[in-house]
Amino acid sequence: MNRRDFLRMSGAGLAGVGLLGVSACGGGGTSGALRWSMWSDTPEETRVWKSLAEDVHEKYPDITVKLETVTFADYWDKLTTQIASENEADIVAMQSLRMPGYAARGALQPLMPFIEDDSEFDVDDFFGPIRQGLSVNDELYALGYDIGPIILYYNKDLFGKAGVEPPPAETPMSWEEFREKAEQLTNPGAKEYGFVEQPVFDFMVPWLWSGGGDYMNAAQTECTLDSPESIGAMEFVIGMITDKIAAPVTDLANPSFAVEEFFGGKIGMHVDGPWQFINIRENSDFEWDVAPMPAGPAGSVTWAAGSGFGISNTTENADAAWTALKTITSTGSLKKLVKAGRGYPARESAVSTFEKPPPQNVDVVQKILVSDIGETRPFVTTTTWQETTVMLTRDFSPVFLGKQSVDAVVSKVKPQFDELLKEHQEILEQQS
Amino acid sequence: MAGTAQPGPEKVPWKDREHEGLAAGLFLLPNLIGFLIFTAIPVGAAFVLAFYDYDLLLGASWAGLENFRELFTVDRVFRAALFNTVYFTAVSVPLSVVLGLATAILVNQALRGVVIFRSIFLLPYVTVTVALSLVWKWLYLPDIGLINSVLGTVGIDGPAWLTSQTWAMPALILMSVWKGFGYNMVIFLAGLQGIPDHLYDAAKVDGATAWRRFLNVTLPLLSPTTFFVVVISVISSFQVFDQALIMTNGGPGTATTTLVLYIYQKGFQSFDMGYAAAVALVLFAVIFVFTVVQFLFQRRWVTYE
Repeated sequence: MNRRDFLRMSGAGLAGVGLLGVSACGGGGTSGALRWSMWSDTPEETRVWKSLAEDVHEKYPDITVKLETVTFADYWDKLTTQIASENEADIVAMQSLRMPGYAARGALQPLMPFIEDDSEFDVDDFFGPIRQGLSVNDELYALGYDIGPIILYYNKDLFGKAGVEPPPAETPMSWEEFREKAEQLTNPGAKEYGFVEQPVFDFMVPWLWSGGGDYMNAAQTECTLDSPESIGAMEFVIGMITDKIAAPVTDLANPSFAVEEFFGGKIGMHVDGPWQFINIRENSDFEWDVAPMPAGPAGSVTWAAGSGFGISNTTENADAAWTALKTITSTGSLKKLVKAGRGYPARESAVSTFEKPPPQNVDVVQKILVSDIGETRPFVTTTTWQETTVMLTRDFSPVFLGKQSVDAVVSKVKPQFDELLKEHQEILEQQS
Repeated sequence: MAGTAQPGPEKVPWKDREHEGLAAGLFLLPNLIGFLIFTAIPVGAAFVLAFYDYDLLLGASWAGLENFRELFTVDRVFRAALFNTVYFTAVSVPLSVVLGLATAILVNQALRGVVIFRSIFLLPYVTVTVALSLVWKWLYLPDIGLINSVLGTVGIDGPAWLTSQTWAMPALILMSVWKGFGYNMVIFLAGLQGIPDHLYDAAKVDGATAWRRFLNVTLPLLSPTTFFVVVISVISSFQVFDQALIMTNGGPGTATTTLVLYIYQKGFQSFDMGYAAAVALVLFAVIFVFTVVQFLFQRRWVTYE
């Protein structure tokens, strides 16, 4: 039984369809009324997205784009229920980490057919990691608007005060140097710490890779967190918390815990994406800058993730949606976003407008992005990644609190991870 | 009413009665439609879905009792969530009922400004849980939080409340009791004011002390109110969610993962609606059994005047 039949059968589905009505119908071709769903947490953000929607109408008077926003946290619940009731917008915002979960479930259309038919469109202008991040099985499902590698932020004032040499911009420091600097910056009396780790598994991944480990094998069939390299890398990070040279974790429910600690000015170093530039500028009153991730036994390896927009699989106006989509992600649009402080652009041609400073070392971001410094990989996720993250976040929390050993938790996590990979493979098979 | 001497209600002709029924139906309709669409149909659907392997985006296939088998045999998170929810209810309900009754008696006195106190006690209840949860997160901060600072002044080294395996749940309970007892107070207050004064007067004449009057007059006459408060508190405690989501995200580990939080995680974060519906069904069964038991036992202790 497919989804449509099932919905038709169940009363909830019938009521849902009756209630929500039918989505906008255009006449096909490059005209019509489109709906565009996107997350937005502030009025400023909404204003920028709205102006992009208006740009589409200005350029193509036959197309109107209606923007629908909810907060980032609510966006995913809403999108999932909309797709389940076949009432999603024509243009759908998607984050690279969540792409496999939705694409493998048939939520979005492959974009290659549109790109091949469109001679003036240059997909290579988008950075490699964002194209990979928004692809599943080599099939591109969305055009990116932002991309960011995970980098190291540091508080220059604190380094100055402690008389510690700041991290070099172009050459990643070694793990030993990193730990040593953190130690020198730590001042327990003043509650100053050399480092803060976001207690979420995603931020463990660059350490895993730099240590030569990984969370799963290339075939996506087995969890590899139990390899000696993976264990070693995680113990390195957790060791900084238990040795009290990294700030203690005091909030497991706040996705911005680490960066908020960093705002406070008592944290030497913090790991995050360039999408935090705007927030750190607004919320800190100290000098700061960025550097590449410290290099472990396998070098300075980091992940890049970003977001973009795809075309819904149930849209009745795919051609108009494509026209709108490429306008929304054009170089001009991305420059507008960058000017508004909305992250690092997904297109190389939009980078030049990136505001500076701070950070002084903004150029480093692009060098990391194209792997001129260290190595940047896409954060590969699975169709069951959402469930995997919930599980990892839950079971790793005692580790981040320093109350359980990495070993003990990995032996608990691995069988669950393997099970979810098995489900992932089943979903892939089912879809192909 | 049947007496002929008294002017009874005018006889309504049948035709008008029909109209009356129609009018009543129409007045009920908006509520009824809302109830059907947003409660009855989803609840009915959940009963069906619990027996399906229903991935929200992939569709559904019949799974029989598979969801329940997994729940009761291998799912350690479910077991933890069930335990946590019962723990939460077992501690928070008695506390909030006793506190509600005590404050109701306090603010039932004819004191000047008593209305202000009533409002203050009710204030946490009418405030949004999300906002309160954020404030309490600050209060619970280990180093700079107000609670540990106060404990520090009397020489107690307070725990890291929300990140402690042992203290995270008591912290949630404390906050929830503080938030919820005001509602119980209002209900108790209504019950107290329904107790006729002459009973107290009679008890006084008989020489009953204040404590005796409380035990032999107030408590028995208040028992229907107490029954209502307990039933409602148990039901709402079993459904605790917001606090756990915002203050601890169910952690550390599974220390504060409640059943409703787990339903949310399964249904919306893992797309696994069938499984979430199965958990919801178990929650429903637990609440149902508890409520039936309470109704069966009420005869033993609830006195209706």
